[in-house]
Amino acid sequence: MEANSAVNKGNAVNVRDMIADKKRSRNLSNVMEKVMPKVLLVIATISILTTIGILFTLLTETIEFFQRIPFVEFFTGTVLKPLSQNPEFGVLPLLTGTLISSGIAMFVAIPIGLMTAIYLSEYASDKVRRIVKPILEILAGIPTIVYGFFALTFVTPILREFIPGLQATNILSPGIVMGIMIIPMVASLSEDAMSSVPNSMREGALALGSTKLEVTGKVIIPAAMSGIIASFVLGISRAIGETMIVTIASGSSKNFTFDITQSMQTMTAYIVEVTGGDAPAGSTIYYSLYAVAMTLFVFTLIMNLLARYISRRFREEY
Amino acid sequence: MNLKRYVVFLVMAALMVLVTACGGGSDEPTAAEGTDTEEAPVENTEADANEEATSLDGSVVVDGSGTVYPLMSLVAEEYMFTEQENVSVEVSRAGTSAGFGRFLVDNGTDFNNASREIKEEEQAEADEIGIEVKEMKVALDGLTFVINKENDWATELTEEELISIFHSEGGVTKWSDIRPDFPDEEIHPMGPNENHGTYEFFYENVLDKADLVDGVNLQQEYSTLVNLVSEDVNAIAFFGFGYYVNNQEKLTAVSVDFGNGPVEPSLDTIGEDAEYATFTRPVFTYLNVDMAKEKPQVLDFALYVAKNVNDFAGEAGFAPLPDTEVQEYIDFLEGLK
Amino acid sequence: MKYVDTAQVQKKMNTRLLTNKIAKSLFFLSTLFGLIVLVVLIFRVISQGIAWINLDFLTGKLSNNPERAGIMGAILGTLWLMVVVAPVTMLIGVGTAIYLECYAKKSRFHSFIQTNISNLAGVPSIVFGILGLTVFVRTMELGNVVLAGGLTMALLVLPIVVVASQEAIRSVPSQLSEASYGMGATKWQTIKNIILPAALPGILTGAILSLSRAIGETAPLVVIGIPALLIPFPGSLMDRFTILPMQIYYWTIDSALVAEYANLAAATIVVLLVVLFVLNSVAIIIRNKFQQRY
Repeated sequence: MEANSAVNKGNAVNVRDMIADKKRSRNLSNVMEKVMPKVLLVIATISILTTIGILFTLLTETIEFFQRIPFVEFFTGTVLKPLSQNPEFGVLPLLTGTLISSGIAMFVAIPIGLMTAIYLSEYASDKVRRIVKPILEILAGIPTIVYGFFALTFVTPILREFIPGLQATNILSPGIVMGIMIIPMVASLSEDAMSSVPNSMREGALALGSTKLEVTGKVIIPAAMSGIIASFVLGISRAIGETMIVTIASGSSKNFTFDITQSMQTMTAYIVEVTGGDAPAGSTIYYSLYAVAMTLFVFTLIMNLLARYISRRFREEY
Repeated sequence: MNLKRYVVFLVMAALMVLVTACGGGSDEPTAAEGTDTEEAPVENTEADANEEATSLDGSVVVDGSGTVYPLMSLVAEEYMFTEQENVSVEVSRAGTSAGFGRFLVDNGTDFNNASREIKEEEQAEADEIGIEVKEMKVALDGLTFVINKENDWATELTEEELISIFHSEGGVTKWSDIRPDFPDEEIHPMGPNENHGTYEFFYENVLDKADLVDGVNLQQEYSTLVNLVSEDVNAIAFFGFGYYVNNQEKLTAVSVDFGNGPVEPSLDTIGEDAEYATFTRPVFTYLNVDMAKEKPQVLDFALYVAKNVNDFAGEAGFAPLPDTEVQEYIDFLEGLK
Repeated sequence: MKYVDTAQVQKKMNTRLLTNKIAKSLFFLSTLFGLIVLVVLIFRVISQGIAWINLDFLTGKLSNNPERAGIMGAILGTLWLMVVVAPVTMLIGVGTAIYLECYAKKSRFHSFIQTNISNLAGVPSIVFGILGLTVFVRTMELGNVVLAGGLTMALLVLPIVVVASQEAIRSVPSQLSEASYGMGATKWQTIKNIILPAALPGILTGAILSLSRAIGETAPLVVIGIPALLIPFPGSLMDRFTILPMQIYYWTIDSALVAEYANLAAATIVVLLVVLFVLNSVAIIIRNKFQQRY
């Protein structure tokens, strides 16, 4: 374009200018060409820095903590009295609280989530699927604080009607509500796994005279097993890391018990309690916060890696 | 392609305009004040009367005791609505000890509310960093023992009986252990956790530094305690009187017999020389004097607290301070100007 | 020679069909369960909170007195949080995605970052709160202000933006970039003029979804420390702030003390859900309207 207009003017100087222009812009774009990858590389390393930051902050303070409290004592102690005059730091009450609440959550989420996935993947018509899936997404998008409010002001009073001896703060109610929160996650991940089983296998089984249920139970679920198990593991990881629901609905008593009608504290709720009290830097309780966070981090990391390993390692190749 | 960019640009621009508009609005709080003037014309005329004072801005950061929080947040709110609209007083409630952790550092909080006196080691910490701390009493509080509304047997207990419930050597696990005619049910003792000055007052002054009974349920949030006691007929908890006053329909306060017949905690009986004196304690706020010298808004708020706190005490469930003490604080603060 | 015993099959047929029917209803009921819970939850919250929502509530300042309390401060705080989160996540998220998709294809570094990002997505939000508390609030001495909260939230939702942007960039057909190279464009020119504009709807959708995640998160901010009573409105990045979920949190735990606080919490939840609904609708509209089919 420009070349034409320049030629029309028939002005040599202009042509020179143009060439100079071209060179300049070529230089500029060359610079861009060289600089941009480096800039982007720097940006891309921020995510790595975040991980390093998490590991570094947790590790340094955790190491300090274990110099004060022996490792074995921390992981086998059944008494947690971080604030008392003669403090004791046993993490077991928090571990049981975490595992019991996550266990209750999965007890709710696994059967309902899996059955929802089967229905959507094998039984539902396209129309139903198009309606239900967005609704499940809404359920997944509700902030956890809303579930916490729901657990404390709605679920706990209802449960107390039916279960005598249930404390006003207990681990059962947040566990159930957490399960409800995780249903969409389990359902959608399992449904993805089942939907990706090729249709030829379904049709083959149907052609041999199986009912849909038999197809699901004997063909689809075994074939999609790795994805389904992975969704369970991810669900557990999500439950372990959940904070607000248990903080609001289960109080802060550090009971070492297996009685689900009692109040227990999870690792996440402990972190909230201690930071809410903002322990002064340098005290043992301050370091205990990082030790508990580290434990939580390792737990969820193992779960996430396990989920990925399962879905890779046992994936059926068609 | 161009259309797309254009639309995206529009969306972004709209977002930005929205945000800047809001940001702008927040610089001039008067814009959003219309509602307040409609609601509280009286207060605003008062504010106009006080206009001779210079208008201040900046922030005042208050943290510490959850017992004192209801009182201080009332005072702070009134201050912001009627005195200094542009000063931001932030009130938190981490607990007395945790609050001191935030107070006794460089550039820490300006005030720390406390439901006990500052400890020696905390004072030493302050001296070490070079913070001058001024202790101000804000009100008198009665340590109140509360039980469930359904509980009709433990409405009157002696001081010793109460202590035996919480004392690790008390030898009491069931109500019937206290008096044989009480029900044969397990007691569920509860209280605020060690973050709270109320716990420490109880531990030091009532239990005389004896360990608490095993299985005592210690909570970070007072609201959780209120909730637990109102739902559990065998529960008994202790906390500041204010948390009982605002929940009388859910809880019963135990009348305590200190040897001269049962005394019910109330605004009349709580006081240094009144019948409930044994469980009465002053609650404090600690002022960082250096901050008060440095920041006019901190000093101004401190003065406001000293002059007005007695007017709010009743509403928050505290007994007022003697006037002489209040005057002493006012004189001290005026001297900092 | 008979392979199939027809009589046997016939005999079992009815039970098998019946089992299938029962199972189907069971699966259907399970699916309904989730929907019913959602309806109950929303109905409950709305019925509890709707009476409290009016203009005074939406534009008023926070107060201890439930009759007078408003949530303008929390709404503005939420907006200010977005002001930090949106640009930071867009810049880092899209930058990372471009690098991964256009520059670092199939290198070990690529798979390392990829693994790292999916691991970050699984880190509990409260751990990000501790990171923010340690790095931004204490070490950088920002204090518990909008900037510190925003940066913490930005790191938290970063994986969402990266993954969404990667998918959007990947879905740009290679013919377009090939054509651009054919015309003599350089790599960066191609990315800037061809790939990014084509991937923009997908990227924006991811960005909006990450924002809606950020304004619904509570745990990191609880850790960073948001005052229970904060009346003035935030006016800059260095002001202390509160956001809608924090307000819900404080009102919920205090509802045992003042019964009306439960209604205020419900009303605030309604406002938060409306905001989230609007954001997600915008994301869906962008996705549907501008998703070019090549």
